[in-house]
Amino acid sequence: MSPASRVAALLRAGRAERPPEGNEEHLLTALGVGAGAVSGFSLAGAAVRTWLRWMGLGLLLGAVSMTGAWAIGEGGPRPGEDIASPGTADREDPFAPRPVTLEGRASVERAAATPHLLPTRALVTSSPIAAGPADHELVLIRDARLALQRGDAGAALWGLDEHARAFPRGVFQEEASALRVEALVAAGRRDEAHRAAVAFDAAYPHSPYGPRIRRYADP
Amino acid sequence: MAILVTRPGAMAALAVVGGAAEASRDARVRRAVKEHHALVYRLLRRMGVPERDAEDAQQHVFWVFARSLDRIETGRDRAFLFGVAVRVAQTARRRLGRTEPVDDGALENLPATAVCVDEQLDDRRARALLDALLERMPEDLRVVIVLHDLEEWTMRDIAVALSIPSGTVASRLRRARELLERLARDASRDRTGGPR
Repeated sequence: MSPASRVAALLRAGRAERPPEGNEEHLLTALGVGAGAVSGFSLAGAAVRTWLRWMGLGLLLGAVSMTGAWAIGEGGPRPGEDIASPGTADREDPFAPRPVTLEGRASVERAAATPHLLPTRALVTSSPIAAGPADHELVLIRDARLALQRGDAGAALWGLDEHARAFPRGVFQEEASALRVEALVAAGRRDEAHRAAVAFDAAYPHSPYGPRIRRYADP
Repeated sequence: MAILVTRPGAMAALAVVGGAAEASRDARVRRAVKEHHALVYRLLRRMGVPERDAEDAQQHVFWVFARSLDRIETGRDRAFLFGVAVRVAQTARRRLGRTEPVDDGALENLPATAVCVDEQLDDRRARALLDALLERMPEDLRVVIVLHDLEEWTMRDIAVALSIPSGTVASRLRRARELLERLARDASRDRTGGPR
């Protein structure tokens, strides 16, 4: 077989891949928009476990589990809610990592079957230390966002400066740049915000955050 | 007094508006899942997320999408999902900190066509090899060949999604194809002990 035909066969196999059976339904259910949406408890329990898996936060099991329990007490998360930081829930936040998913096929059922493992309500007030560099980058972004939410623009900008120093070529530059514009606006530094917004628009002309940031770029 | 009289009506109207907005958001999420769930799944897989983690990562992508609805321009759902999927895949790969070894033997065993007795197994083996070869490619080339040759996006759509000129897409696609072919050839030679 020629190299070209080998590659063609590989690509054909790649195109033929389909998600596992029932994937779409599971996805709709996990997002709370399916006909058979699960209870908030089940979803939150699964969310907590996947959060832990993604962020490598085994030592903080208890604290993050309590976050899930908070969501349980409120009827469970829905798209747009901030599960990881319930005290500062923000339906419009696109920045923070939200690994809120079902873990495998049976996670909903497993979570529902073990309610005694989770307390009823608690808050997580600080960001844990993450396992890898990308996780750490996410934590910095998240901290900056939370600081901005509570009105501490100075802390947000400090966090974004830290992010810029630690991850000059990080994968979340776009989010950090958008956050910086808003933090500068919140700090009353309008001229700098304007310049940052113009730079953002030039760097990310097709960004989903564009419409929000672009208004600060207007003269 | 008039306010007191009209307030219940106003509240009811607000509730209706709010409910309608929520229903609209839900409908948009459902539509995005229906239209793009397979694309997101395949993108994650081809961008290096192992099969065992792919569904979790896929749900993460859609969760970010659902959270960000208000900020995603109409008609840009697919591009947004793509962007998040690439980042999630990057995070997942860095978390894993390793790559799957290339199963060189699988290359020689590939069927000439996708039709064979044990088609599913061969497809699976071929995908494992494809992913291993893609893993050896630079990210900028990998994204382009995945979107164009696997997901069949147009060059223009890729250019918009990546915020790069169409000419750059064409150039990267050509280099990506050449590299993938070379990697496949090298893997085959390594297996057979032939000259490099």
